[in-house]
Amino acid sequence: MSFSPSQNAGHALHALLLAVAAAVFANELTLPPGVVAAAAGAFAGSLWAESLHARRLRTFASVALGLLVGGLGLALTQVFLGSATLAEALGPTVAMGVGEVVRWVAVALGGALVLRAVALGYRAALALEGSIAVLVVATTVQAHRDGMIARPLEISDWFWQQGIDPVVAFLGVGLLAGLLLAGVMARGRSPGRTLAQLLIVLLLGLWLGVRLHREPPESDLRNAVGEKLDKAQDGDRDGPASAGQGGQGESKEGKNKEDNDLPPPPKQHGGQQRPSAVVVFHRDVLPFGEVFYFRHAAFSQFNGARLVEATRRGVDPDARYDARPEGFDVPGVHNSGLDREEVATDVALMSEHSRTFALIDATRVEPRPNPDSARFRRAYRVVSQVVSADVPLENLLGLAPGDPGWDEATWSLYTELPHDERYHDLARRLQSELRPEYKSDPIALAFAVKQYLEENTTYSFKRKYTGDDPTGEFLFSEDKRGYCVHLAHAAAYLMRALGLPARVSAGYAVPAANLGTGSALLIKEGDAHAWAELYLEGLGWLPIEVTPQKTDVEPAPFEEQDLQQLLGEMARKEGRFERAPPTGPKLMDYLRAAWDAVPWVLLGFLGVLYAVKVGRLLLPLVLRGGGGPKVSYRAALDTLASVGWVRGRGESRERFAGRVADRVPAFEALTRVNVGAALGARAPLEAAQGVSLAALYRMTAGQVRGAVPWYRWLLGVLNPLSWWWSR
Amino acid sequence: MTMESMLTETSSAFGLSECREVARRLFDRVSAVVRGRDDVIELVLVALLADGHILLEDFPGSGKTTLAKALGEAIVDDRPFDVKGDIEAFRRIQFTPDLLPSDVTGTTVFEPATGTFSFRPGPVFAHVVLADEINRTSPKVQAAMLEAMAEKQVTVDNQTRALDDLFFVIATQNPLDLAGTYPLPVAQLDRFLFKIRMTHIDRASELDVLRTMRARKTGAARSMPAVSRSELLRARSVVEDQVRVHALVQESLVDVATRLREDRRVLQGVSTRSLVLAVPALQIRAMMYGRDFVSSEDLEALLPMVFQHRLELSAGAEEARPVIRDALGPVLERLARATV
Repeated sequence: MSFSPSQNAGHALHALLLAVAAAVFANELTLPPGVVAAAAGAFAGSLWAESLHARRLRTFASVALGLLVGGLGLALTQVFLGSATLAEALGPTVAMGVGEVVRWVAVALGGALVLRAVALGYRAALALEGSIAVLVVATTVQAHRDGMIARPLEISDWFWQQGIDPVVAFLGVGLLAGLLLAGVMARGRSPGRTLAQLLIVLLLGLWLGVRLHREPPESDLRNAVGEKLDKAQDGDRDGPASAGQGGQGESKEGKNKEDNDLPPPPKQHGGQQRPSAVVVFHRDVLPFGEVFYFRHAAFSQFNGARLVEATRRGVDPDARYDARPEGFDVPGVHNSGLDREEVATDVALMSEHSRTFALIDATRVEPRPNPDSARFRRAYRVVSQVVSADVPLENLLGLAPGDPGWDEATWSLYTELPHDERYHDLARRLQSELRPEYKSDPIALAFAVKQYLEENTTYSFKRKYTGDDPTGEFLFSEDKRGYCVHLAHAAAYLMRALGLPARVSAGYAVPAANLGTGSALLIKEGDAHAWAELYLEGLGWLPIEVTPQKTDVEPAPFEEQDLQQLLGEMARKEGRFERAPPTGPKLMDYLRAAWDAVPWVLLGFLGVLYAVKVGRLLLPLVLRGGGGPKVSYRAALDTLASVGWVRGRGESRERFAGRVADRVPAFEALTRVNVGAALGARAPLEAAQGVSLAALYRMTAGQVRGAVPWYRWLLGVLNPLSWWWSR
Repeated sequence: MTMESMLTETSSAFGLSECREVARRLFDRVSAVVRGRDDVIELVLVALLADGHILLEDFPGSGKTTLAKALGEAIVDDRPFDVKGDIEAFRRIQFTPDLLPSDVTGTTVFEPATGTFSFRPGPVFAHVVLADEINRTSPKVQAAMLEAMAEKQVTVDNQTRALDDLFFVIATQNPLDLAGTYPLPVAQLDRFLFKIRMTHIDRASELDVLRTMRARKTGAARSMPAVSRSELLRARSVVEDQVRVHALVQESLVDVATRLREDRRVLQGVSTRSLVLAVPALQIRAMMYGRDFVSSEDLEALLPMVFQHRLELSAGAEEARPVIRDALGPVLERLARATV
């Protein structure tokens, strides 16, 4: 059996498609030779299946052969990888390479053979083959979802180097793949129909692409935790997770229902890993506690149920950072004699934050021009006086609590707690367990509280506390399960019970280890945090971190070093991502302009198509005498084509009319009139037997409508290309 | 229906509808006798009315003789006896290797009573002649037969004698049993308007043949209205006059011929004569389908019959049908597009 050239081309295209899919699939799992082997194996397997099919081998035999080949190859791989003598003879690297090649050739060959054989045997299985090809590619780039632009890095890096946003590029690749798939699926149909299908795919793909690219899903980038509260708080979209409490100080209405509940825990889903911002440090610094705290709000006023933002003026001046255009000096931070380091940090926000956050002990916040408006929402610079990790703990011993400048009201604000003796009892018990010399030392007391909580609580999102004092419920429950908000409150209350000025801050907390050797720090949405703080004279607010020893939450390992570095470089506006000075438009600008114009061009194109369609259909009804045989006949042809009844290539008009005559009898008369008029009949209209052309056309349209299911008819009406198909 | 009424009918306004009626009558009579061969009967009538001849490729016992005989009997010679002479309605020649040309054309014999030579007309002096197994006779006899077909005359003893205007040959040959035959060369096949390959009739038709055997034997068809010779001749000229062959159709004809000549599978393409012969056939078919113009369906139906025996195919190509179909497809497509 021989194939026609176009069939051969189709087979090769099919084989190529499977080869690419196999290579992409193998890429993550094996060495480069294995990838090449997988591609070659899939290609050969696909062609083999075609040839077996042509030789009339039955499908199940081909499938069995494919499985056999795959199995044999895997067995052979075991020989290469398992045999010590071979490894010695060839050297371990070569033996491993050969083993991988054999394995992937066999797996890809067998797999492609089975897939193609099934697809050739049963037409419907063609879809299976297509889906697997798509699935394989989709799995590889799935890490890209949720805006993780850096995965897979080897692809996105290249695009960045070309100055092209990988998002656009990935969309383009997807579109191309869709086109290719549609092309393969439509193979063997008429070229016109194939073209039409490709056009439709292109239209849809571009439309989707434009939609996705123009409007980043706002709600997705939004903080996962705040969702529930946001609803109640009427759009006050706070960035960091624990900011759940953030808005409550100001917005008084619409939160009655949850008034007595602590903010809900963050939802456990993919959004946790979404990049929220990137912070570039201007110099190396290791903060006290080895954790970077970025505060955006502080809660110090007890409202009867929990701590909220203080309503009194002048309290917590260090916890609000107004993003004024001219910059903003943050009051309330002491530059005491302690070992502080001044550090400037450049923050670039990747999702919308209604509040500015800053590395704690900030003294100045000033806006910065956005280094890359396509990537970042906003950028600003923060200068902070960071308490270094070099400060020995002993130096903090002996520091007095509070500030001498505080008045009575301030003191009571910072030491108010629920009227519950159990806090005092517990605090006293902790105090009594300290060595005598530390019994009145603030930092020693704070650490006692911290240690107690760390040893006796379990970090968990599973428990909900909904009573009048959720913190108390948590702290005095049997198993003490809670998350950062509970822990921070518990620590703050216990410290307050001991007479120490304490509060809860919210924002992000990121381990300093994440910084690694670089200078950029990635903040993810999952880094949102709340922590307790203690005020020490001359030092200011010091975070007291409570990290329970027991946890039932799987900690997410930090794996985004590459992304962190990449974003850092973009935020720094340095290196390869620096844009050339804006002198005249560049290629990318033209591309972007063209991209922007695409929807309009397509829309216009679509409009023209519809205009032609409607015009051709309406003309016979508008013109006198149906506009003559040609116009009426063409309109009838279009109507038939819209439901998929098209004259075959080389089929005569009469034969076509005869083919549909049982469903559309009126069309036959119309055909006779038309052919007669075109080929010189003396009285072509006689064939209509007294019925007007317009009436014949209307009858044709009515009979078509009655002969097909309503959805087929509706599809035909909506299809802008139906007239293109009519022949 | 009397002979007179037929005569007046023919002399009065004779249009395409009358032509169609004539064809209808012929068709009904023949199909009453030959069952399950409506497609072949239609082609035979087209050839008869278009003044062409037919080559049937068929197996023995498939109704060729019955068909030819029924056709001959359906035509009534309405001329006075002295004019029509001894022209028969139907003659059959069984071709054998030992046949002589004079057995076909006729011969001059000496009559001792009068002492003169007189001409004995051969079997070709008839309206419908069945030339059975034409490939079994010698080329000499074939040539005599084919001359008669082409020129409508025979030459005996240097004297040329005209055959009847209606002279119509149905030649047959067995497609399989080729031993001891003299296959007709392509140049001679060109004389036939159609070559028709008949297949076995379907089950229902075959049952019908058995069921109506007796009725047909008693000659029920003979009671059906016949067609007069003058009606047939009149129909020929009317159709030639009144059925239009559009320039697009002419172009299509030439285009098909050109494509056939350019086809790599074809050694020798079709002749211009074949196109000239095809035009009346197309007109007749259009008339039979109630049209006064030649349409693409006529081309589709007739051109394979016209061309398939005129092509000399190169080695490797065995069937003419697919070659013609390939040539015809694009031309018909263009014609179809030109009509909208």
